[in-house]
Amino acid sequence: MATATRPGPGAVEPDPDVAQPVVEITALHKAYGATQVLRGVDLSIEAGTLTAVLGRSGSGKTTLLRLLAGFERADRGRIELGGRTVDDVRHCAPPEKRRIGYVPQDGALFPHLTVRGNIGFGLSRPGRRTGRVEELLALTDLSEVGERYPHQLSGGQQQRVALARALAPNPDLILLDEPFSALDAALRASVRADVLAILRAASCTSILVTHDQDEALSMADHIAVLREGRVIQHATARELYESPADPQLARFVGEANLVPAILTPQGADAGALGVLGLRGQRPGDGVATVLIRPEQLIVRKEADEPTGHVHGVGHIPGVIERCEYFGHDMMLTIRLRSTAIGAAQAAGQRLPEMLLARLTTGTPMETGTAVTLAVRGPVTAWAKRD
Amino acid sequence: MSAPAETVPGGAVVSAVPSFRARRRRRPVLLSGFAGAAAALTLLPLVFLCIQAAQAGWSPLLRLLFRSLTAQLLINTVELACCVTAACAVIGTAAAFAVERTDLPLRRVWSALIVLPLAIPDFIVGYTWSSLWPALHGLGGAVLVMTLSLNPLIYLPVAASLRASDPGLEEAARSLGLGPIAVFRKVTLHQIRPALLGGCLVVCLALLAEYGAFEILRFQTFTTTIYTEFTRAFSSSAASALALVLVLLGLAVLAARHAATERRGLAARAGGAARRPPVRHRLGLRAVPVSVGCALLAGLSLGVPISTLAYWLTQPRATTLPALATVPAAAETTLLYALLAALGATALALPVALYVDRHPRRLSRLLESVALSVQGLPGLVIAMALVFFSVRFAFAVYQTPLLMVGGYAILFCPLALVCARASLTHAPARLEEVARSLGARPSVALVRVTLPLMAPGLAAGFCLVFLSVVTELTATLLLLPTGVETLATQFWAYQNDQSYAAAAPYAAAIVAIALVPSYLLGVWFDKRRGA
Repeated sequence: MATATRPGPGAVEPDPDVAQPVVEITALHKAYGATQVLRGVDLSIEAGTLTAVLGRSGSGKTTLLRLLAGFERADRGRIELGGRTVDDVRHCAPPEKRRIGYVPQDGALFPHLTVRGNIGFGLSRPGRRTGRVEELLALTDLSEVGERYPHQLSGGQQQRVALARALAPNPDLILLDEPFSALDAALRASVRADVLAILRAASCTSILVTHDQDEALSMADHIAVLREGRVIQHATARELYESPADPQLARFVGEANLVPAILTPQGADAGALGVLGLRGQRPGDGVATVLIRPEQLIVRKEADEPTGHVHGVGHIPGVIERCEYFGHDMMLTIRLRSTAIGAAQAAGQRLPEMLLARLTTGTPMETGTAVTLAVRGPVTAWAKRD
Repeated sequence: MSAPAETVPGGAVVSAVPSFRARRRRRPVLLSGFAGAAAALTLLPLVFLCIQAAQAGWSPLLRLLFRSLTAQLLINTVELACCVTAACAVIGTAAAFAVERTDLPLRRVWSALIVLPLAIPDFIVGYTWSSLWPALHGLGGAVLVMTLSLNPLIYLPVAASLRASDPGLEEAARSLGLGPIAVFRKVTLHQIRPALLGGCLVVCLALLAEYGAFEILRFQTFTTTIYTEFTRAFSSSAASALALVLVLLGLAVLAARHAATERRGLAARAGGAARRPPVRHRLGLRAVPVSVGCALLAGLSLGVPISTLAYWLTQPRATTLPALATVPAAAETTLLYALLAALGATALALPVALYVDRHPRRLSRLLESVALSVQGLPGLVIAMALVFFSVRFAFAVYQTPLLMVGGYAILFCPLALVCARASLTHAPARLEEVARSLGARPSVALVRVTLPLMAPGLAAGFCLVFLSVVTELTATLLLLPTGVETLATQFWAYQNDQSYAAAAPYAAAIVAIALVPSYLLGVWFDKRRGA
């Protein structure tokens, strides 16, 4: 199958000793009519990893997937799969020559074929008799329903069939296009876990397109964030959550308190919140914005504080405005006392009126409780460009 | 396009601006070639009609058009269209409401009895009434016969629209204090209006194209006049001048129908979310008059033709032996032509449907419109144009089965195309893409995925074309090779001699053959309704 592809210019023979990236995307551009969707995407994906492409609606993530699969042609740029150039504008390998497994949004199972027929679709006639179909039925825990038709399956089963069908011809890469968005919330978590386990068991390189940051953070080894047709950050889940590339991204990948501060050699001086330690390199001097994740805030009831300690530096007073209870933890919205904001303003600093804090549910908290806040752990800072 | 809207914020831009970017997609050379050829073939009759008319010269053409005969024909046509359409609209809507929205007993039976007359060709209905009541002719006879034959064309879309409409709207109107009659007038009628309007325009098209029934009832319309002029003087310019007027009328009605059905699509989608069956009105004792009304309609439109046919079949003295002997041979010819024509029409429609569904852009939409515009051309006009064409440019095919089958295929290509397009909703491009990513070449994906999923719709289109060919008369009379006889031409020959009994076996055979595809189509529509 691989030999049938006409090698594009600059095609390299894959070297088995060096860990080659399976996917290498360079300066990829794509427009629909006058609408520029991809504006120079660079992305490199290592073998055996699960990479999430995270982005809002309209960020171009589905277009990227369709270009990888070969359903559309690029306007500019280059895509290499396993060392072969599959699209460099002049030459474009058709989808059937790319060795890519594609799992679309709603599964898109062939309604006229049974589960077994769907899984065996990509195999040759003799290939269907080698036991590969049974192997995948067992892997995806579908052996019981092999003779059923798609409409007789649950949503989760359909999604597993779609995955098994994509895995059957042993592709170099699996593309998952928002595979869980059609499932209801209760089912989503379990199907997610199933899919992850199957992908790990098959040790397959895969790309998951999603707009759900929880999904990306919990499932993927690497996350590439797409915004306005460009990759703005490609990192592990932890890096992305702790050190996002800019404040906007910080808000996108989770709840965030963005607080103004002044960068000094000692750290970020956030006024009443104290001087905060920086994570990584100091991004310059002067005015900056720091990211304090809600779980980095220590919340104490004002009544429990030892006297005299109440309004010191690093401890800021506030009142609980709203309290959202999630069972495993809770999210507090805390309104800072106007005195604290006023004091900060006098010092030439603008504190936000509200801060978010995440708390384990051990300590009972109620709306209206007076509390003090402090920050723990290092923070990420971005120098203000003005 | 399976790409969700999010990837293309300006979705309309994709097709509206065919800039050089648009060319970056894979070009479907083969598919567009086939689709273009099919569209060109369907355009052939219109082109040759214009050539023929132009050869007559402009001033004689205008002289032929601006005479009292044309005015008389126009008046006849408008009178007939107004009366029949109004009568069909009232009867069809009332029947649809009774069947879909009341607790009338035996609803499924009534529904079948109301639709079944569609399987009986209009010229046979005309023949049965005329043989039963020889004094029946002129406008009155034409209105009676055509109303009885065509009212299912309104019943079907209105019933479908009543079934699909959102009962929530009517419930909301009731809760706002409107009585049942006010709800019907203000809400229900509004919901079914696009379907009703579309149905009325289909009735108009059928009236423009009908020949046999009007000839029997001695009612002069464009078709009967054109036929007479054409058969009397072989390449009469008068025939082509009148045919041009008829084509313009037909295309105008078609354009109006297109506008009406566009809106129907929107209405159906808006109500698509609710899959709750509508609340049925309780009839109580009123069920008796409603049932009597349904029985009257079924009796007149189905009972009269069938029982008259049965009467003539059992007249042993009038039925001559040679007439009966040719029934099997004529039936065989009819079946053969119908099969070939259905295959041909499906073959023409398939590439056009695939092309416009998979590559919706200006060119493909244009090709589809061209293929669909044939609906506005009466069979008589298409047959006439093909005779001109073959006599002048391809004499080898004149009077051959090839021209006959080609004529049928062009004439009924729109039926196959509409069915093929509808069936493509069951075979979205997404599935083909998945097949491609699993290693299937485009042709393999077509054979293994798209065609199996389209099969029920294609089969429905096949049945529809088959049914139409079996019941076709006008084009058959003009295009059939000499020496070959079908059921319809044999029937027509005997009927012309007023040999009612001799014509009856052929009419009965046509109805019997037409009932098979009608039954299959009924089953198919019922299935789709359930899905």
